Amino acid sequence: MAPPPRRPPELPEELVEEVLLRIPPADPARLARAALVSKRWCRLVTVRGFRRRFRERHRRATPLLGFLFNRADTAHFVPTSSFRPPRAADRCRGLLTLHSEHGRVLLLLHHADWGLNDLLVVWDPITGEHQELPMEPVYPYTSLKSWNRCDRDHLDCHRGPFLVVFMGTTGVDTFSRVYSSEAGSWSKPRYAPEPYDGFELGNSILLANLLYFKIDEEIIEYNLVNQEVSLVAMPWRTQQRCVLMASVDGGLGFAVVRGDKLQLWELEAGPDTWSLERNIDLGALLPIDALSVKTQAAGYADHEGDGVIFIWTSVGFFTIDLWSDRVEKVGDCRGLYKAVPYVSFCTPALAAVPTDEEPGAGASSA
Amino acid sequence: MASAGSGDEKAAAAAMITLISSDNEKFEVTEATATLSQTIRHMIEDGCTDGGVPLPNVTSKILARVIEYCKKHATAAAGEEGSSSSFSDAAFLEVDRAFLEELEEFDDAFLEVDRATLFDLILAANYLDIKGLLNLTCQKVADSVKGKTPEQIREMYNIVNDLTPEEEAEIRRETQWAFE
Repeated sequence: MAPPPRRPPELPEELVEEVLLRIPPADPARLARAALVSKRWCRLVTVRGFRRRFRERHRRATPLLGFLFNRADTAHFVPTSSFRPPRAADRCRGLLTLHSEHGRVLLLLHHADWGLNDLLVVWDPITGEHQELPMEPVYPYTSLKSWNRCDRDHLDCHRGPFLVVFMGTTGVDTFSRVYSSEAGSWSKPRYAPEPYDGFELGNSILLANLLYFKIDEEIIEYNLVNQEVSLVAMPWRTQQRCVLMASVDGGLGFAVVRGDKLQLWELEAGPDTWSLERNIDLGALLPIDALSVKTQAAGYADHEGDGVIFIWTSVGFFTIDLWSDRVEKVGDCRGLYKAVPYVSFCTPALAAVPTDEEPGAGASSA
Repeated sequence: MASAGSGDEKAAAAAMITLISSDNEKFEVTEATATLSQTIRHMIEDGCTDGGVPLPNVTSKILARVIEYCKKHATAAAGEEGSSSSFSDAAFLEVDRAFLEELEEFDDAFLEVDRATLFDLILAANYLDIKGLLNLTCQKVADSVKGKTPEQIREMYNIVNDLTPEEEAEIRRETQWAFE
């Protein structure tokens, strides 16, 4: 009989951590299961220092954990990784997804009855935290956008403060209000003279300190620093959905499906000057039954400069990785045309185990 | 012997380093191979390599494997440097790709070892400070726990479960989604 295989020697703690740091961020379940191996493994993956080192190591690859879409007045989370939001189903019933940024999702509870205020909810799918915002903007809601103010590298934004910018029109003028989680309240409305209308729910993007909202045939630029509002004209009129995105240089761009092409446009330095950056042949990338007149751009996820475009088709959602042109089918779901990508790190944090390895590290907030 | 050779041979002979394993086996390697280890590089810089470099933490069996790795990767590094001047860009890229592919095949074959050897290699790579080897071996372990349950991971790597049933229940409750 062959002798039993030699048992592996014990590794010192720093080498176990070297192993755990190399678990791919797109497989958070593997990290969660590692926490159950032993006391030491549990402590290693749950301390704040590990979370920081893990995120730093994989900073170029913040994973796409899944995406949300709305169907029958309910937000659905579709995983594209091993991550599953805890008790997602009962958390999101009756809520519509508007936006996701820095690990948080902005949801809207929309009352069918007139007179009742809508309710905004900020949800963290990883921690399960659900925060209802006191609802003051009683004007007809039109467009919303959340922005987490966190450290520059987005390495650990889940606990940081956030802002929600609410923009809408009274019919006479356009107003904006900002909710600050630190103040716990909304700012007074600020008015711009034109009544911009036709906000597309949640079609917005944050680029540095500028927030862009897509409206009917234009894009509103909102400056987070001085709260000023200006307009960017679209290059042409179109009924097709134009998804706002970041260009290669970090400027404003949008994606649109025209015929069998996915076009990526970007704003040039000159005012309202757009150029066609890429013309991607969807016929060569999507299955034949996915291409129809209804096929359209549904969402955009920024992946540390390498974007992913979501395409809605009559046979389901597809993602196109703009760096590799890799196409993946990510859901059979029909629902509405919009996909809200959820991009975040997810490392286990447990109340059961003390995690204060490095007191004070990362606890400071801006 | 070295004194009788030409200048080139002298340089080559001078660039040989003797490594001595924990079980007293001697390995002659070129300086280029040895200096993939930052630990040995520093010893050479400090002039502490006369009479051989004792490595009391590394057995001959593991040291032989580590040297095999360093030889291959030192050759690849030298190849890249040498080829850049003699090929056009396109040809260089082609050679580069071939090198990388060959190196990848080598690494894959190199990692076909039992788990105890894999851990020995991690310990040696850490002690000798060989970044590439440490990365390769740690990544292999991280890949090997893909889809595995905590019980399977403990079994694979000889780890004792010292979590109390209460702690285990608490962790399971908070990461329930990962077990569904």
